[in-house]
Amino acid sequence: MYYRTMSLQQLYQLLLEHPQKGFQIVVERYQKPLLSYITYKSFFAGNVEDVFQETMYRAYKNISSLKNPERMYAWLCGIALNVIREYGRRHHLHLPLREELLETSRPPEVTSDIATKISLLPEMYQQVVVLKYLDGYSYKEISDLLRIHISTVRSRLFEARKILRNTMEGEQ
Amino acid sequence: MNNCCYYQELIQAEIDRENTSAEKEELHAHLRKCGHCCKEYESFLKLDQNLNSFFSELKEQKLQYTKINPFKKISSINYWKSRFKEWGSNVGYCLKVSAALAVFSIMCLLFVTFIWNFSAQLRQVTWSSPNHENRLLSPLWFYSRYEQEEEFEKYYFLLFEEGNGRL
Ligand SMILES: [Zn+2]
Repeated sequence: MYYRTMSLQQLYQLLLEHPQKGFQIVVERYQKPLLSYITYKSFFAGNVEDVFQETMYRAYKNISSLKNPERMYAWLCGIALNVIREYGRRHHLHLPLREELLETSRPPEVTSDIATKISLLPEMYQQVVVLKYLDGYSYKEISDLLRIHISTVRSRLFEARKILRNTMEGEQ
Repeated sequence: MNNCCYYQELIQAEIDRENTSAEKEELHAHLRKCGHCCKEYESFLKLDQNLNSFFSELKEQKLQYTKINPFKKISSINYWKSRFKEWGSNVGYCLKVSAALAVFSIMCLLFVTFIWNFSAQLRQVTWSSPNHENRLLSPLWFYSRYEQEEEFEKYYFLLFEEGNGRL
């Protein structure tokens, strides 16, 4: 029971002392949102399981590179994003990541897709949107996971919606 | 309009079902009389429906991954790591055992040598017998070979003397 309620600092300490035990708690805590994030990010590639396994493996192997335990979830998402990009390059998949889409002008039928529109949002907005819509998390749960204030969660969601709505209205 | 900023926040919270019942009532009372906020509310509601329909598709996709074993890759690596460790410790064990055996056999050899030399001194009398063949069976016969030859000559010399110059 103690393991479920332990703080991130305590969890980090456990990770350094007993990596296997600590990592089990990390998985227990972050598996669900991380899987959602990867499912969403791999929407165009569809190799969720490989990406997830690889992310978990890299996180486990490089746990010592996590400097700020408060940013554990963001760190895991960062690893996942790198893995997705590598897979994309290796398998020559076109993953409409934000940078790529901003660089190249995509044909209108692609840009009209809502998935593409969300992927054009800044990364921090995307994270909040995914947690809200895919996992159905409340403001409080999102703020706990991302270690940001509830008002920040609310404003990020609001900003994301404003951008999405404006791009949709601009098309009509 | 300044007032409407506050209701914009309530609109977001309403879409996210985070409003208390009092806030809910307050918002709807405002929506009834403010056309601007009403329009905003409708547009965000439409967007919310679009997002929900997109993400419900993803939710279905995600369902097939709920049974993923997050330790699959990690444990496969741990398996080889532990096998390697096991192998390494086995090699270490073998080395230790063989070192111990080597030390033990050297000790045995030294002991046998000592016993042999000691008993040889005790049996020195019998050495003068012509039946010296058994001495060659000694594991260290090559050490005492020169000595044996000397003894042998001495024995024949004695015989020679006893036989008055005839063998
Ligand atoms: Zn208003």
